[in-house]
Amino acid sequence: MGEILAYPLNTCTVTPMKQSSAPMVMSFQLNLDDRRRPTLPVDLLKEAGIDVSAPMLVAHVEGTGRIVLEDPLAYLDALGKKVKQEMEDLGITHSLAEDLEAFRAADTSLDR
Amino acid sequence: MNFLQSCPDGVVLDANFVVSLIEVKTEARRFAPHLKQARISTINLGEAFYILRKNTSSVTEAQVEQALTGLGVTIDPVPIEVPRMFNYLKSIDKPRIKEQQKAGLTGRDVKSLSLGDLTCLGFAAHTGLPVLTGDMHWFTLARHGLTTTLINYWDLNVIV
Repeated sequence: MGEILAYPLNTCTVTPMKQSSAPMVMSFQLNLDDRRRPTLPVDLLKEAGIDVSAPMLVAHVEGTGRIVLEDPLAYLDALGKKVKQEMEDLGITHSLAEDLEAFRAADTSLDR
Repeated sequence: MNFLQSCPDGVVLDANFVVSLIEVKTEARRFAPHLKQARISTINLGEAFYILRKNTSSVTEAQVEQALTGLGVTIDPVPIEVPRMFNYLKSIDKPRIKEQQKAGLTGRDVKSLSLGDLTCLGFAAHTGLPVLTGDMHWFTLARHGLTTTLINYWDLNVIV
């Protein structure tokens, strides 16, 4: 089973050892068990500002050989930032909730 | 009103809340750490997907699903008991529509329950859980017989 290193960032990144030249202060070696499960060190979670009792992290791939484990709230905020930025770039001034309200108001299929 | 005390067994999320959550509106975001027992129907999530895609392309449906489930939200299929409640819910909605028309409102200014609304309210009635929503039309239906507890996420008097 391959060894992996995890680096403390805002999000917790799990990276193969061959990429250990990344500019990080601390690294944590994680071993995967026979079902590919790592145990995340408490210090690693603390360094990333993730609640050590967090029941779930969101995992996604960020390029070849790189998996990012993210606190769900940080993940939500990152998505929101993207959405806000894109809406701003497109000059959209209404909120998504206002658009949903208009969408629902247009559905009068049951009012006849 | 204290949010967590109001829904010890969980809460149903309306699409209205979810789109505000994805847009990280402060009023919706404050509930995010407390959604471990929250549920949303696939249909209402579909409404949120549609509105999101209509306005943006940078975030995928899978990412939204991942964000919600990461927070602990359960995504439920719609059981047959939910559409069975549609006629009952529309019977509650009709007097409210008439009230608005009497007040001089016409066309799209008259608020009524859409299929998405009916699905969320029906799902909440089926599960017996309160709903977290910002749809103000729903709040006017209590005096016409809607018994589901509604929690308005825009209301800052709702303490999280």
